[in-house]
Amino acid sequence: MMTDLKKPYQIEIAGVGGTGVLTAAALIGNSALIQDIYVVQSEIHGMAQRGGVVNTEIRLGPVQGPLIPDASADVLVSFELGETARAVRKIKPKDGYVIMNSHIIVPPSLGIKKGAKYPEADSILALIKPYSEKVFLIDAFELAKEAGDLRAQNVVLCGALFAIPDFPLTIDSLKQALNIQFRGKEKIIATNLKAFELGFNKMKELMK
Amino acid sequence: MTKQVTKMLLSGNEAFARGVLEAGVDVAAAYPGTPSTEIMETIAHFGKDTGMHAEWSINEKIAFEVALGASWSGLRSFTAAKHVGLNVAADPFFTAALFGGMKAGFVMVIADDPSFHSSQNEQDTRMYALAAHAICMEPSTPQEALDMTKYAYEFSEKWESMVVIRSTTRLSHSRGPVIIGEIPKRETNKGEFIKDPAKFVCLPGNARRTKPLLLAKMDEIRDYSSKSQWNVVEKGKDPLLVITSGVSYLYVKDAVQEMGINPTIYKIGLSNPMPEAKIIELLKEHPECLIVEEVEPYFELIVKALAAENGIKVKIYGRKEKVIPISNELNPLILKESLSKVMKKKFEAVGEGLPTQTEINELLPNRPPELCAGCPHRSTFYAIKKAAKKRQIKPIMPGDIGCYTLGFMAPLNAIDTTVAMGASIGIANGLAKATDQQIIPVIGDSTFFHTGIPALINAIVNKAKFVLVVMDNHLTAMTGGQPTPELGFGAFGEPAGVVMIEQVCKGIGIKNLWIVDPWDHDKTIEVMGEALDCNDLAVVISRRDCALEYSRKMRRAKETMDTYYTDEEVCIGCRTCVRSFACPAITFDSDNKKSHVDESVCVGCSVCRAICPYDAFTKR
Repeated sequence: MMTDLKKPYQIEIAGVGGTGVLTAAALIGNSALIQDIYVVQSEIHGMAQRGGVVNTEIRLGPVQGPLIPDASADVLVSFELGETARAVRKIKPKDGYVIMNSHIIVPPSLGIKKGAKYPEADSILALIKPYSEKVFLIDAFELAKEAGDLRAQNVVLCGALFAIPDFPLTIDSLKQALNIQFRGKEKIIATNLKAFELGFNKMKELMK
Repeated sequence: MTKQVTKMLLSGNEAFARGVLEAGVDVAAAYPGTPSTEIMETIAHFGKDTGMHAEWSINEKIAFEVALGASWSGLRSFTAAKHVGLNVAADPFFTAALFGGMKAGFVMVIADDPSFHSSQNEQDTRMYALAAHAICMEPSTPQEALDMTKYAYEFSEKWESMVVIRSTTRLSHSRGPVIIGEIPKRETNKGEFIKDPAKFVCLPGNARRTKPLLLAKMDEIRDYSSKSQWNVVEKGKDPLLVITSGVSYLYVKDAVQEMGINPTIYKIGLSNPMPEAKIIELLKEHPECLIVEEVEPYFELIVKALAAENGIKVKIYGRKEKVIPISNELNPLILKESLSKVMKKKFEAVGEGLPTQTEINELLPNRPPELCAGCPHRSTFYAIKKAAKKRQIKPIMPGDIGCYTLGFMAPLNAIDTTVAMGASIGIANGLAKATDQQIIPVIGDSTFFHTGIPALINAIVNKAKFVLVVMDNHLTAMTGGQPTPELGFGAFGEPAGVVMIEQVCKGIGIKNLWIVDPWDHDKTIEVMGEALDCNDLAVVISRRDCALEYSRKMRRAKETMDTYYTDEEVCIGCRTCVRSFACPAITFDSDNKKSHVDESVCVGCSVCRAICPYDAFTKR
């Protein structure tokens, strides 16, 4: 057990319905609970589950409400390339870390208009770069595939999150949280641990 | 939620449920609705072994009445609803508030939805409490949600009145650490109704006698409110007084901390009746007052009236002064701006010179919520449109509330009105009388039972002519898959009675009735055609499991689903599938001009095969 944080540490998670945003948030939240760090987090359910944008905000330490004000998140973790840009205004300009999945999810409604295309990665990055000097692009799709389950992209990116210098939560508490969340499902736990490790190592490598 | 753990990360809704269980509630009833649904789900999940009764009722009015009946029989009872659900239950709500007579605690959680996250309006339940003279409480955190729920039962019993706990999306769907207590063991779950007609029969004579008693009681609670443990003054050094409640209180605290200011904060947890004496005292001590609340100016109206009535010289800022935005939920940034205005401090907008949200959104594709791959609603809508097109008619399609409301989106563009639960059929009655147009109301199975049936009876009685399509996916899908009357199981998963839609239709005298499987596309078009041609009131039940539930079932049974793929030799790139059907599993590759099926998303409904003019989709 460690004592509570002196100043807030805030994590914005961005994604699309079905990418495991809520599961990742529960893992991070429970890790904080295990370390006895105060945590509040917000999520929106309902209509958003049908392929819409899903964001979760996690606030650790001396905080009150569940919402991260613009320009104050320490980290933005995004489970989908384009959605990183949509949530980028949450991060602390310059200091904030951006961990983003290079994998894209094309909304079906894009097909309705003839010739409409998903934007190029470079044009998305051009919107993100002015906000942060610490942008890390991770192919979570490939790493999750390597771990054995494409659904584990969220945990790959959690691994990257935990590799950030001075990140207040420990790998140990994350492992405990994972064991609680998937109690009795040994295969899922093993896959997720592998995914976590792959993401963690990838981030370490990128930060070198 | 096991006993040995004392601190858990719970959502507001889970904490409400925990409070209900720890209060030893014996009867809980609700109808699902975002953002309130998880309360009942959690109660059903963890209350199974307590001997309590938990049910998904047919609508909110019935759920309310179930709880009222139980309380009048001496059992602690509970109901939950989303804000607009209270509209459905408003009739018994007002009378129960007036008559009271609770033999055991009756508490309800009504979850409001500021900012319209999943709702058609952002009505403020406190206004209901005020209008009905009902006790209303507002927690701020999941911990308070639990503690206040338990307290509310004692309070309800003390005053023999029901207690409304008002939540909002940001409390119901936020998580925080919660210290939990014990769930009590009880000897029996049975009460007894003791006859007392003067108390329980709301004839005008009894009501006339009861009203002054209610008003006197509310006056008494109003006095008590100033001393309530839930109405807390946090004394500050700045001359500003902030009056707030719920999550707004948390935003105030966040903003105050960041700005390094120190106003006095009055956090109101018992908000009807208002702690008037304390407010008057505080207004006298402060030259300025900022009122921070979501979402109607409820405090604002009362506080301003109190200042005026008592001749207190205090400048009160709220919505009218445009210091607080007039609608939508608040956040710490809005609060920083509001507090800066009032305290005449410089407010620096963040992110100046960086790409704006508008610029960002312009680049990114929209992600509207959409019907799932294989969703039977999509194929039903498509078949209706095809049948109508063949007959060269442009039907008016009043819609209802559920996943199928998304039929509104392009490319289906299939919904012309959406008003309230059950309103598709009600509006169709009106349209049928007002126009000569062809009317095709669409309604889901759960919504049909909820409030659709009386409107269909109305159509028979008043000879309204339309073709009702019941989109029966065997589930209350939009809220996460609660059972409907057709399924035969209850909130705990226990066996329950069964009512089929066709039984209802036949029973009330519908003569033209079809049941069709929307995955059988050609047949559905044919049936829709027959229904349109019969020139009479008709009902088509389009029945097929929700695609999400279907894939869950298949996964559980360890069966593999059929999938389809594009035969690229055959696909000519006409884009019919993406342009007019828009299944999320199908994308169009604009480089090689072929459609492509993501087989990890496809559930094998086969409808793409039926709609493709060139037969390019093939079973794997």
